[in-house]
Amino acid sequence: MSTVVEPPYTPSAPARRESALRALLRNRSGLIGTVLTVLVIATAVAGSVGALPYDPDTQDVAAALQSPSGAHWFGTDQFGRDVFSRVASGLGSSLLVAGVSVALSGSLGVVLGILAGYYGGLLDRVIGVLTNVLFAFPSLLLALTLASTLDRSWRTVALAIAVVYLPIFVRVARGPVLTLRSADYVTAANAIGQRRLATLFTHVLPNMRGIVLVQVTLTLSWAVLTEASLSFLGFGTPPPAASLGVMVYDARTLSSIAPWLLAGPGIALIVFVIGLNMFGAGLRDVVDPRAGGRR
Amino acid sequence: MKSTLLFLQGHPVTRRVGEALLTLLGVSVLTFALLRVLPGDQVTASYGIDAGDLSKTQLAQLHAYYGLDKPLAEQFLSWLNGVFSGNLGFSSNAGQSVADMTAQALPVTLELAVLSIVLALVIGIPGGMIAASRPGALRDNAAQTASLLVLSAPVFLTGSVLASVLANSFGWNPNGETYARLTEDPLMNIQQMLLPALVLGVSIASPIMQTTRTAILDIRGEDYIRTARAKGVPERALQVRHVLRNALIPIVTISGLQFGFLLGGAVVVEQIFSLPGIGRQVLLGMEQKEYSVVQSTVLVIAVLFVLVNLLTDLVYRMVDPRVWSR
Repeated sequence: MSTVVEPPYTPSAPARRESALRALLRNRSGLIGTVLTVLVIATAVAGSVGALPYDPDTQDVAAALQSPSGAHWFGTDQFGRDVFSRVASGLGSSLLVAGVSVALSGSLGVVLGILAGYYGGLLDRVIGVLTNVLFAFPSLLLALTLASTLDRSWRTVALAIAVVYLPIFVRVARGPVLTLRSADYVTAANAIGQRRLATLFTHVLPNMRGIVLVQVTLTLSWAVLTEASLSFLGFGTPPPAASLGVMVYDARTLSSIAPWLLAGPGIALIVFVIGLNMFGAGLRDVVDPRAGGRR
Repeated sequence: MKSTLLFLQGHPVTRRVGEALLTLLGVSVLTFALLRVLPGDQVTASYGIDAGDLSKTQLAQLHAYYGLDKPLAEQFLSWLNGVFSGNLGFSSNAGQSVADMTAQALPVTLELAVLSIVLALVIGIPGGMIAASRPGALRDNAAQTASLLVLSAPVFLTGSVLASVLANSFGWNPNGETYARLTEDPLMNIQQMLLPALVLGVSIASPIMQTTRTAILDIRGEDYIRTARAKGVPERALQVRHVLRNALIPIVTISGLQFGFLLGGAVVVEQIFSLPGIGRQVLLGMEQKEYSVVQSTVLVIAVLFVLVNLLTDLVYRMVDPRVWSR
């Protein structure tokens, strides 16, 4: 969903920043979000480095289609592969693709947004048109079109998703710059002869860390969903890498005899996204208490 | 005459329409460019594996035939000219022009979109009103939790679960039959549309609910509500005529914005429920590597999205004159 989240901006005092983590954990949404996210990321990392109960790709026909048990937490699939290990490995590749794409779109988008907001004029208008053009495509369709035209690999999938979420970061970064540009300390820094570009990075960027971080968290959850949707449609992370979207696709025909095949990757995906969303909501409350007060 | 022109020049609507036109130009450039970054080109793509057997001279002749040896700007203009005259390309797999395919597929997707929005409003507005009736209470928390759950479950997951549970456990699978057009077999058509519209509708009910809730809470604090209450307007009439009516403005806006999500979600849902809509057309084009189909269909969808956004914006400005001054 490409709803842009643009919370009203309030610079946070340095004193509050020190206890940001504690404030996050004291927030109910933040605490649940942090716990879920840490849990999922730990599983994903275990999946990426291969620290799993079973090898995700090894078949064991004798153990095919077993329901969840102590030995196989999420059961086994029709080839006797351990569903939990496959889910963990799928989470690993989801996290990789989503992480790389958000890192790309976030860094480039924030830089473009700051430049547009700070310098204004023609640059602002050109960047504005580019942003509008990217926003003109439904996000899943744009990701799908890019992913299907490029050669298929996890890198191109990450690139396609990065393009989709680029304009959101441009808008999120541009807004506060318009306010910050005329802040007294920015004027002061320019007055004492600091170069404008230096001011941008020493005074403007650090003051919008909070809202950018909130946007990163939310975008990460959308990127996870987009990656899974692309995989489901057959244009995501290519095999042999396990993928949650492909697992859901394959599980559909067997869902009446082996519902756990659908439940495993489905629940993992939902927990991942809920965790990121709650983490983001908690973070927003900490960064910008005014916006959170209304909840 | 001159004064009318001057009036139009600085007018926000003119500006907004101009912005939309500029966006459409950008959209067409980007869609055109997509075909250029493809591995291979139109010629090798349309000949598939046989393209390897073509000699250098044959390739050059084909390039000249398709105008691929001309400068990019000229190619773009002639492509755009074709689009304007209704030439969206030809699908050799379907044996049909893309314009004809689109004319058949578009009504399916539009019906799906309209049904989804109606369902979303039916679920979202009362949901938001219930949540706002006592903020922080159990009903509010329950609504918020449900909304978070819905937001976190991707359409492909809810669609798959719903479709397979109903088909496998209840033997109800209207989408297993061939697609029935609304005009031919409305009863069957509604059955086939119901589940996909429900899946999409529920997923956009969540933002609609949130918007309703926030809008109602905001409006409740306004002076005119206090005035109306002081005047002795009955509570029920107050809620409907004063609170809800004003809350409709942001609700209309968010519904318009969700249209893009619906078009994207249609790709997934039409695939799961085998509906021959425009999303399926795009996906099929991608699977069969028929890039002319992909390009034109993506263009059609993006243009549709831009126009709906423009319309939403204009309606919003019409309903709420305060936006003029912005």
